[in-house]
Parts: sequence; structure tokens; C-alpha cells
Amino acid sequence: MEPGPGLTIIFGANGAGKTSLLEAAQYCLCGRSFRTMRDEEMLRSGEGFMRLEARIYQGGAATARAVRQRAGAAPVVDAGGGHRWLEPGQVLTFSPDDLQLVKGPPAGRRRFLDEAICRRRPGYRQLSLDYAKIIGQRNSFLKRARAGLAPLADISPWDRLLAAAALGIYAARKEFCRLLAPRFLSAWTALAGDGEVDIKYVSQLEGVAAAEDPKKEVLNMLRREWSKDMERSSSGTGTHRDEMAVLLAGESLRRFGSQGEQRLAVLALLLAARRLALEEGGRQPLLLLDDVLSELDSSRRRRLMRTLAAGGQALITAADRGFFLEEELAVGNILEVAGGAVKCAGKEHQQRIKPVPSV
Amino acid sequence: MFPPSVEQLITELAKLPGIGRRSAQHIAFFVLGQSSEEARSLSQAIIDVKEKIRFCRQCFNFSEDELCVYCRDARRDTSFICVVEEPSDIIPIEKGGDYRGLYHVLGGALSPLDGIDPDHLRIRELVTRVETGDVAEVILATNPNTSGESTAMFIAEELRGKAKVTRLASGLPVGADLEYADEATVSQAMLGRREM
Repeated sequence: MEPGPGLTIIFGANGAGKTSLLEAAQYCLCGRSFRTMRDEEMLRSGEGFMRLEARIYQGGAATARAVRQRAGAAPVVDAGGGHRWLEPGQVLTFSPDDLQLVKGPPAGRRRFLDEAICRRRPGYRQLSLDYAKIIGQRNSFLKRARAGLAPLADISPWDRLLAAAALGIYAARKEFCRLLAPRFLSAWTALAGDGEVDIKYVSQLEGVAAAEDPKKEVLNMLRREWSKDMERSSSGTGTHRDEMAVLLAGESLRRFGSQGEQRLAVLALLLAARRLALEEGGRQPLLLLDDVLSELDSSRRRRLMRTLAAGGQALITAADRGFFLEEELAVGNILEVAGGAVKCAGKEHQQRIKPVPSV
Repeated sequence: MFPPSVEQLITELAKLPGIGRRSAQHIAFFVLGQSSEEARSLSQAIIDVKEKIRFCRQCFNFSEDELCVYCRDARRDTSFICVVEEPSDIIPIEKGGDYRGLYHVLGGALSPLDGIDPDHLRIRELVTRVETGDVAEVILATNPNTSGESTAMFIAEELRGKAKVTRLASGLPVGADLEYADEATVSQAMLGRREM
């Protein structure tokens, strides 16, 4: 299939394989699937082999890549000499059942923030990995201290590493939320029409980050909790318990939002992250929307389609043409999935993509 | 599949780091093709290294004698001690050629996850060395990762007031372009900048 540079609409009956197309796109780009973490679930059941080929266009250059996988084995990538998976934040996916980003526990929202920040700041990944390591080491230390294997005061190097890393993560997430909030509001307004939404980064470090010597303050916070931490062998202070609160009219959408509001908020968060990427001149994330229209009322459908038509590459699946207006179909590149094959049902691409030699 | 003695050799070789069964087979057949003398020389080398090598009494580097080559060398400056995690870390510092002091090998880095506490490292021995010797400066050259950093912090604390303690700088690799350096490295380099 050849998706266009802008919006591509994929039609097909239930079970025709629309979701598989989106999944294949993400798998080729990121090396992972939004549907499953298990390699063996990537193959159609009963089949022994699959192969995906993709041409990836970015920054004016095209690269070819193939992913092949045998049943029971890990996927193998042929990229003609080295490849890099895109950062997870470069491909944003949404299916209507997946409200976890707003409805689920804070860990999912921290991951969303961290992945989006990795896209902006490549060095952030290392910081985030280091932080997880430090917490792991510190927790192990607490356990050993509780067992009498080490004096509690020896925790101090881990505290200092933790304080430095936590302040770095706090600053990055806080800054990202500050940038995301107005774009979240405008994405929400574009989709819902009204309602005052906001996001707020809630952190234990909030009070101390602005202090004269924030690191010292964090060290004091950690120290105050030493014995409590030791008792439960886990670190209670840091950025690993932070939260990005998603608010509608000042109330938590996680707790008080309806399904419809939560769904719309997830969509608006993805659109906001994409918008920010575009404005910052980075690579714009690819948006993969699986069967999202069926869950929206018709006025919101119109609004979503207007937003998508405004630019950026997006693939959206739908079971029924009735979800779209004629003029909406005219904007998109239209593909149809039936009987295991994809055909181009609409007009030709506005911009024919130049072929590259295959690997 | 193979005669028991060949099978035995393959099994032993496959225990080596970085050697899978296939490479082990490859090496085993190579050995089979060697003369008896060559094979004996290889096995003797392995036995020798185990019998002759011990830890230097002073710095815990590998050594065939009481003291290692550096601790024995009268031309080395004994007022400097460079602290490393493993004996293999000494090699790049020696190759650098700018350091003429002595070493202290910790035998690892702090890692509560793996059950490695300060007591498992030769930190007490280092403190004693500093207290009893005439040491002007201790250079902490543990790895710049979380374990190495925490080890360096711990030792710095233990040596406070006993000697000048410095940490190996981390920053931009020599001969590289700033443009391609990752953010964490640049930020480290910025913190560790020096006046010119």
C-alpha cells in the first residue's frame, strides 16, 4: 500500500485486516506493536512466516527496510546496513478501547511524557534509564539495610544520584507539560467545541525545585524518609510517583470524566503532542487511528476530520463510508482492504512517491 | 556426536565469555589441527596464569610477585593513587601515558542489586593506604555510570579530610564533533568546563 503524505483513510469490513495494516506500519517503524508485546502474536495464527517491507521517507531521503519473522523466533530486520527504530513517541496510536492514557494509572501518563520528551531531547532516554537503575539499586540497598547487611547511612551516594536525576526529570517533564497544555486545550476545543481542559504536572518536587539549592532540599526530603523507606524497602520520594493530571473544568478526567470525554481527551493529547512536534520543527509523529470514528458522534467526527485534514501524516481506519462526508473523502487518500489485499479506491496520490531500489 | 574428548573440549570452551557452541566447535577443530607442542603450550599458559597470578599486596592489581609492576617501579610517583574498578581499567590509563602514579583496584563497584556493598570492595584497604602513606591526591577513575558514580561518591566521603580527592572528568570525546555529541555528554562537559 502507498499511504499519502497527508491523511489516508483505510476502509474494510470487520475482520478484513485494517488494524493489521496499522500494526504493520508501527512494527516496521518502531519495532513494536500497539496491540501486543509478544513476538509470536505478530503472525497470523497457524502461519509459520511473515515478511513486512517498508520504504521510509524522512528528511528528503528514503530508506528501505524489511522485517521478517518465523514462528517461534524473534523478528529479523534487513535494512541494508544498520537501521534505527523510531522513538516510540514518533508514532502515536489510538484505538477507541484504549482509554488508559487518561483513565489508567499515572505510570501510563509518565510513559507518554517520557516518550514525547525523548523525541525532543535524545539524551533524556539515558537520564530516564539511569533513574530507573538508581531506584532499583536504592531499593535493593534499603532491603539489605533492613536485613542488617549494611548501615543505613551508606545510602547517601544513591540519594545524591537520585536527587540529581530526579531534578533533571522533573524539569524536563514540567517544561513539556507547560508546552503541551495550551496545545491540548486547542486540540480539545477543535474536537469538542467547548470545555476548559488543562494538564498539570503534579510532583513531590514541586515545592523544592525553585529553592536556592534544590538538590540539597531533595536530599533532605530523602533523608527524612530513610527509616520509612527502609521499612517497606522501597523509595517513596522522587519523580517515579509523579502524575500528569488531565483536567476538565478543573476536575480530574480520570476520576470524573465520562467514557466519551476520556476518549476525546486521549485523542486531544496525541494531537497536541503531534502539533508541538510540528511547531518545534522536528519530525512530525505519524498518527495511527484505529476505528476511532465509530465511537464519536457526528459533530465530533466532522471536527476530528477537519483537524486531520489540516496536515500531517495520519492513517485512519473505518468500517463504513457512512462516517465520512464526500468532501472529507476528497481530501484523503483512500485505500480499501478486502480479501487480504489492499487496493487504492480513491483518486491517485496528490504527490506520487518516488520508488527506491529494494533491499 | 563427536568423540567424548572432543565433546569435552567444546563444552569447556563454550563456557568462555563471548564463545557460543559454534565458535567453541570451531576452536576445538583448530586445536585438533595444531601440533601437540602448540596445544601443550596453550594448556600450559592457562595453568600458569592460574598458578602464578595473584593480587598485588598493595594495590590488588594482578601480579606474579608480592607487588605488581607499578608498585615495584621506583620511578612511579607514590603520592598519587588512581582508583579503578578492575585491573583491566589500568591498561587504558597506562596507554594514555600521562599518569605516573600508583593504582588501587577495587574489584568492582557498588551495586546493592548484586549484593555488592562497600565491604565487598577494597575500600577499607584504600583508606588505610591513604592514612599510612604519604598520599597527596586520590584520583577516582571508576566508570561514569550509576554504579561507578555511587562508588566514587562513597569513597570521596570516606577520604574526606585525609587527602585531596579528584574525579576523572567526563565530557566530549577527543577528536569528535560537538554537533554529534549526545545531550548527557554535553551537559557533563559543560559542568566540567575549565578556564583557559
